Amino acid sequence: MNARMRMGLLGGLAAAVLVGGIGAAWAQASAENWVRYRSNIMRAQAAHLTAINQVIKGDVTLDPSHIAAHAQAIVDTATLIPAAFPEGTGPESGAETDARPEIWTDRAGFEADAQALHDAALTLQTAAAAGDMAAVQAAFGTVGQACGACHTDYRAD
Amino acid sequence: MRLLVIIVLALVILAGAALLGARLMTRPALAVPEGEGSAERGAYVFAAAGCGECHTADAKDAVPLAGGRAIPTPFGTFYGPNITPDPEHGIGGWSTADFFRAMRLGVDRDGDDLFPAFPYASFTRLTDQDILDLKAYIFAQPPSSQPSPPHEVGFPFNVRLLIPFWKLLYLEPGPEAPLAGATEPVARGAYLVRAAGHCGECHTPRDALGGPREAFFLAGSPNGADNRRVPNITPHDSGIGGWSEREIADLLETGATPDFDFVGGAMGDVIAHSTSLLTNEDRRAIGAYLLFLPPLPDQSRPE
Repeated sequence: MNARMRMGLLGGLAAAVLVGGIGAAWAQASAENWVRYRSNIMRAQAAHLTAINQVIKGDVTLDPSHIAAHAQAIVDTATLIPAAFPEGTGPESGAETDARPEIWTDRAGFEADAQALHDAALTLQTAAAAGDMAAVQAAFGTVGQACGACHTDYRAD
Repeated sequence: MRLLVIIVLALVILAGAALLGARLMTRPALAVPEGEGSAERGAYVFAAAGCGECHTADAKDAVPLAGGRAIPTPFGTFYGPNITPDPEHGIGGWSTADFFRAMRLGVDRDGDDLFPAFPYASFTRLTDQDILDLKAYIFAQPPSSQPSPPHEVGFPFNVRLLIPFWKLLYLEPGPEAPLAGATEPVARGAYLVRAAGHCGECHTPRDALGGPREAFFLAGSPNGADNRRVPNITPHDSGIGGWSEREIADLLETGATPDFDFVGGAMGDVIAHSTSLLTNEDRRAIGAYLLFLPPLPDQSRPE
């Protein structure tokens, strides 16, 4: 192997390491964007739940149609959850995330939990639209159980 | 000067050894109450102590109390053993005295020291009646002949001979006297948090020997449950300062924080299998005690 070949080989190797490193860094940065995106979805849902709770508790006096509108927002965003967790955006990406690997190894269970949130929020929306406050209270509890059940199985804390 | 240091050190070691010897010799003297417990009351103690969280495996079809859940720690991975009343693979052959020795002193039926992953430093504080009732409940459950999985713990932490030293430092055999000078709910909360709930096992930081740093009781740990960060639950700005007793009780019932985040992971399990099964009054008592604690800065994010 002559000097020129050796230089070429070393250069190629350095380039490969560099590209690999950039690739990994890019994957991590990309995963961090996904983590931010999905936590934005869930923060929005938490804000709607907090607002609903204020109406239920009577902090603010509003008729149940307002609760129905908040519930509708949760119905709509619940369907966005599965797509917000694409492959390669879990803890193995290097991004700081509480998402557990089970989201990807037990995909059917994870998607069933997202569906359960959708269904519970729809029940809440229907109860609120009908002005049935007793049913609203019960359905609000079920929405919370859906959040907690999924976090217990698929979120690390 | 140097000689003096050596002499002092030697004296300290000798005193420690003497103290340990004295402790070991007095160890069998454990008061075991007469009588039988109530399985019905024991069901409540069982829930408050969250026994099923470690002694039942994670899988949805797991046999209750037949062992299996992995407990990762900085010292290795422990597995909650089978505690069903099966005489061979469970604790069916244990007498009331055996059961008390395990709960109060961390010793199994053969006299072997149990690893403190079994939180006997907390359970030792339980009342006689609660331990009796708990035993009655566990012994009323169906037996399972599933063998307990072995722990995965490396040297030197797998040496059981070291456990008596650990106990000397960190085990204060109970029962613990009720919290003095506190209102009834605060005293009840103290009991639920310190004894049955064993909250400090995850929420109090540990030192290099795995003992709780009591000066930072419940101030958070960088490597608590599942070897992950566990938050500060003292009423400090970096903890649950500003929360009301009601908000703490709500979290223990539904998992919702005041701004409607829902806790998951290990605490999600605690809520599902333990605190959501308590009475409202007891959840409020836990809240009252946590707010009664001195506010301490967060210990879960070491610099």
